[in-house]
Amino acid sequence: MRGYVLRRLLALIPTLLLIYTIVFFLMRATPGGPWDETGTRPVFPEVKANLMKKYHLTDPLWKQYVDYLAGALHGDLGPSYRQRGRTVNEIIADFFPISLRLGLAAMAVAIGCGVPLGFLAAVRQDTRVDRGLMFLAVIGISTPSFVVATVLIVVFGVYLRWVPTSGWAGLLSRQALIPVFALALWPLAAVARYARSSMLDVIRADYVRTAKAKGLRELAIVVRHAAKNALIPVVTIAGVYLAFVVTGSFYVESVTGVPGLGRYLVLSISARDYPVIMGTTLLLAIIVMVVNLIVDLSYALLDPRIRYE
Amino acid sequence: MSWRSTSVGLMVVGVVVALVIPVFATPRPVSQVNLASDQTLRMVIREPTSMDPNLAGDHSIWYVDQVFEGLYKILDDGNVRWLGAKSMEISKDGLTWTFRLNPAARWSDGKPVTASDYEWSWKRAMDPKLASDVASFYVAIKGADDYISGKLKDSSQIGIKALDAYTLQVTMAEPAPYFRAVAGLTYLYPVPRHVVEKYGDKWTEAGNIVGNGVFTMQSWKHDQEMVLVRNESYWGKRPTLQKVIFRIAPAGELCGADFRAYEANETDFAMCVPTADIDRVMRHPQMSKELTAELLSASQFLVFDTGRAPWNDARVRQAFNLAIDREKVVRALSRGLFKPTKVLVPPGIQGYDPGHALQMTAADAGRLLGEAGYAGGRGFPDFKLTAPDIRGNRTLAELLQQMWKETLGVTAQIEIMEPKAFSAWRSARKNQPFDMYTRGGWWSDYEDPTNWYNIFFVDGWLNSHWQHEQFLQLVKAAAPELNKAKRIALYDQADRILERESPTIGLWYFTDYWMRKPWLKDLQHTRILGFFWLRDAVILAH
Repeated sequence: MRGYVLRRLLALIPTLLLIYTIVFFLMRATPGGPWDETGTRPVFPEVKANLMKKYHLTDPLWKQYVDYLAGALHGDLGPSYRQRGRTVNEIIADFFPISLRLGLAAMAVAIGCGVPLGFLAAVRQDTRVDRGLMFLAVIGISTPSFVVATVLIVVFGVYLRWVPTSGWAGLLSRQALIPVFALALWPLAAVARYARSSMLDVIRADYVRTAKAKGLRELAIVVRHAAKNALIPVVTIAGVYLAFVVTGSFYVESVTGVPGLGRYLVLSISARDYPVIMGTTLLLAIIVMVVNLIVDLSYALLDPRIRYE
Repeated sequence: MSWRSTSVGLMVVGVVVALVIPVFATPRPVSQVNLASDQTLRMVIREPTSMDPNLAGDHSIWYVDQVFEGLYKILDDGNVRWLGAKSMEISKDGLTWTFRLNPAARWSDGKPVTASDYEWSWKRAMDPKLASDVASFYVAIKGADDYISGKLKDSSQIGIKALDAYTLQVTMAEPAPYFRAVAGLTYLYPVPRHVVEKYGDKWTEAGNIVGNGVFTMQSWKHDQEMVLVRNESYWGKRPTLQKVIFRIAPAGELCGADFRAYEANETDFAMCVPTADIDRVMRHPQMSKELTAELLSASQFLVFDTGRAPWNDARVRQAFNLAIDREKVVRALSRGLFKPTKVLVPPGIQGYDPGHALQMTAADAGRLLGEAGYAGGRGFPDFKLTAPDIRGNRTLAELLQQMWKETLGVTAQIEIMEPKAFSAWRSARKNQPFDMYTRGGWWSDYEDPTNWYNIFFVDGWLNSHWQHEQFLQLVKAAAPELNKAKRIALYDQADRILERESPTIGLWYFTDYWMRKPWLKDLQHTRILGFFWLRDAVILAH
């Protein structure tokens, strides 16, 4: 087990290097640079030259490639071009914890509600409960999160005035309700559907029939016997969504005014803020890979037949 | 204008009159009305990219302007409001500008604001090591160009000298009357040397920052909130507002966040209304009274590549110009809140005269195209209208395409590009052909004709490849002209040529859609870059 984890962690290195290389060259191949005007005022050629020099963009490409990599290996992700006086490290330290907290809270809601609802739909298969829940799940999956967020803001913020229309005051505040729910809805619906179908497979298994024949109560069968096995596909899908959600959703963060990393990454791409794009992409890559590893390891906990050597 | 739009226009006028009269019928000086005990103004802003006046070149200048002040401010009526300076003298040859500073002016930590603060700040803004894009506002000053490009290393050679504690002398490279409009801008506000040197890059953070304006920064949680409080040690009349709370919204969704917060009564002032909400606001009994369209010194226009056929024929450009129904365009894009224009430059810029517009109608458009050899659009080459994907450009392009099709019988292809990609494309047009483009408009950086005619056509920034000898001579002669009347006459002549030749087509003037709660009074808008002047604003009891 320990050897397996170590091998997986070592495999991060070539993957990250590959991502670094691809992103580095893609950024520079994209038309338009950090100081091409997008506002209304032209940047003077002399000033542009000074900026290029200040941020070492006049160095040969290979040198820029090596220098940034060397810096990143020492934990220095460089300065932001757009946000003068701030570094990428500071920006990540400011924004990532917010996206992470928001994402974990959303996943907790998604799993906490999605799994029981999915199981409920399965054991009440083809009843009104099942059909109603699955109808809601389809709506949840097919409604984009920014639409959900906007509707919630208009209803609960503008008309009812129960929650502020935007902003962030920590996870345990009224402001957090809308982003958490908007972010949770999609994974919640997906988790519920997976939980339902995997529970349907499991309750047709022989050992469940045996348990039924023994006269055990339905709730006990589902919770004690079937749930654990039914959870394996759910964990896989939840892992995918977890990586997606904790890295921040641009739309939800933008609409609800949450200062998270997802939004920052997208804005930095349109600004061609190379160090911010690179720093956040590498961070997101690490997160996705670590979450995948955690998901793989959790299989072993749920199913004793799975062993990692 | 059709009967329908006329009657709509009359209705709008009627509604506006009906709404405005009760508000202004009984004017009372603000001092006599009840002020709210809590003088806190709440509004939504975008995260400043820098609060350093030497670096802030984008929307950040609006917030810099609350915490700092410069030599003076030129108001929309043309009057000068003296702030850091008491007076200004310009030598007869126009080369030496002497500013007498206000000895009462203080940094918020109590230290006096001196001429050497200005000298040091202005040289810092030009320093190649700082690499600030506001450096371009200093190029009129002797030695500035060379210092910015690194050719001149010795900053004492730059024409900026503190003669004594309160006298600042500036020497120009050549006469530059436009500097009067520039010297009062945020880009030339001073920074506190003692604080900048102490904290380096971090001097603008809350707790470190020291300003000289009517407000000081109490806190700044990046991307969340910035709080300003009244500067109690300000030398002049202090504002009535005690506190300003800026809620910081994400750039991409700023307009929506701003407006929703306003609608939910979380803020007192909004600087934007999403286009989709304008109709609803205008129909709303209360909100319609709170909405104003504040004119900006900014216009949207089309640019032709006049260096190649068919665009090198003025008749073709005129035909395309005349075929555009601006009222219709403005209605579609802004519900009529932008102001249609047939000329390029906005009011306030010398040379501006709506009478210079082509004195023909859409009916003449087809005739002109025919005279150019393309009667009914026959034989007209394929052409492309290029635009960045911002501010309703897609709709604009489609409307123009339709109007040209109907009136001239020609079909434009539309190419909408990602903004940065467009910018790179446009820069590369310096030596490359194109048909026509429109960008996100142009905002006056300072209210002077050089900011339009000279930058566009002498510096060639538009890349329109328009080389009209007489026009170029006129604007080149006008820029350094010290005699005001003569200067205006030169620009007036130039503008006549410009509008007749139509290398560019003016479409509309931008406006800021401002929403102010009824209890917010005396908040002034300036048409240059849409500054909001919080120093005079008050909150009434409500």
